[in-house]
Amino acid sequence: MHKSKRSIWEIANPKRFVSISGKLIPLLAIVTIFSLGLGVSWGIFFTPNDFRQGSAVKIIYIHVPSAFLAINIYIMMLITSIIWLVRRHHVSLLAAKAAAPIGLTMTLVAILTGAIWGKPIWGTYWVWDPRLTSFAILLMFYIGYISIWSALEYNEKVGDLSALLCIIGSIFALLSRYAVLFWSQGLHQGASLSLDKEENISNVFYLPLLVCLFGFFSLFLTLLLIRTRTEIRIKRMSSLMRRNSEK
Amino acid sequence: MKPYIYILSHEMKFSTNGKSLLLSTCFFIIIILTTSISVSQFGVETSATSVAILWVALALSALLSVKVMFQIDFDDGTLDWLMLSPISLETIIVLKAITHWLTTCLPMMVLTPLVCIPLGITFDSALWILLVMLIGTPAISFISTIGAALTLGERGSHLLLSIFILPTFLPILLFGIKISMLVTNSIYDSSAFLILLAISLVCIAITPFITSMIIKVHYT
Repeated sequence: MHKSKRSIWEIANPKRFVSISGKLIPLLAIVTIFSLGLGVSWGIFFTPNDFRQGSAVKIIYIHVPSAFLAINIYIMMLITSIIWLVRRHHVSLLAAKAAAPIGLTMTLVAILTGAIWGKPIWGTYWVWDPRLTSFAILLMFYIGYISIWSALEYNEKVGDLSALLCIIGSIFALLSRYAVLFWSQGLHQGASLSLDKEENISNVFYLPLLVCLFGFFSLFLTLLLIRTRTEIRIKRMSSLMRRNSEK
Repeated sequence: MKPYIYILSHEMKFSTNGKSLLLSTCFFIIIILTTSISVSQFGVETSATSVAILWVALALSALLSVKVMFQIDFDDGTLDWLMLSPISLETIIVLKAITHWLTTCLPMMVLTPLVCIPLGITFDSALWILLVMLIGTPAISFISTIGAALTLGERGSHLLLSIFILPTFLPILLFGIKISMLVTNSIYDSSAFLILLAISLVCIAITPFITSMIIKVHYT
């Protein structure tokens, strides 16, 4: 067989994907455990309290990474859905399917930790601040995406429908977000983690937060690989069963 | 021009025969009456929330008749014929959306000045709200076609359809409700009107293409 140049599309072959991810998962799991353990324990036990917020600030080490992932997982689903529509790689579609429940969980974690953080600082669990509203919107679109998969049986048609739904969802989620921003500015502070600004949060909080972000990201990758492998196997099983019943 | 008018009149006849016209309008009235009765019993100031109730009731009742938009044509094979015909699928979707607007949104809008009385909205502001609805509701009809196409061929997926489609009404609802609230307080913000018009027009422009993509998925 012609040995082609190594490229990212190699893993689009489900067999290759399963073998590569099988090697990657233990490695990623170790990295996840190490970095999350380091980041969270560093953040919670070895950083000073904020002079205004007290110890309540420490929930930032869960809240910010999960919120960061919640949004980025949707963007990842959008990209993989488009790849599915353009190049018809099943792994890409199944990765989007596998990522959705992780994204939903991260959204819920971000909302819950935000509520716990908001109670002592803002004096309320929930307020219709634009960012909270965006997360409520994000939650709805995650639910919509997951429900199309759970309601319909797996086939290529449902894959196309879900990919289109993901694209439509992102258009309308973005529109809704700017519609919300049009009317109010809200309680959240501006971005304080950007790379290009002078005034970031102080290094004492910044470094453990970075470790936590990295830890959450590798946690997501681990879970994603495991779930995608499961999805690939489910798909294989169902096609085998279909072939058997046809005989 | 003739075939378009023919399809439109056929669709109109079909949907008024199906009694969905009456049903969704009744649903609209009933949502508004139940909510305004529930709220009024506790002496709550309604004028701020009543506008929101009006819009949400409209969106929910518009959803009620979405399911039949393509489903019956899909089942009896009319859609196959329409797809084979020289008229493009996008045009047919536009005609269906116009029918949905005429048979579902328009009757509700006609009733709006009337149902504004129990909601405690004055007649003058009701007329302004009607104008806002005139801008916003066509987009609701057009977006609904996406949901109808997504759940094509699924039995009893009314709930599935609402889960997808209700969140996509949000941009329209947010602007519609806010402008209506401003209007009831005699503030006329023309830039907000224009943005609502822009969102509405963008939805009308892109949804026929999205919907036709989805319908073609069902035929591959």
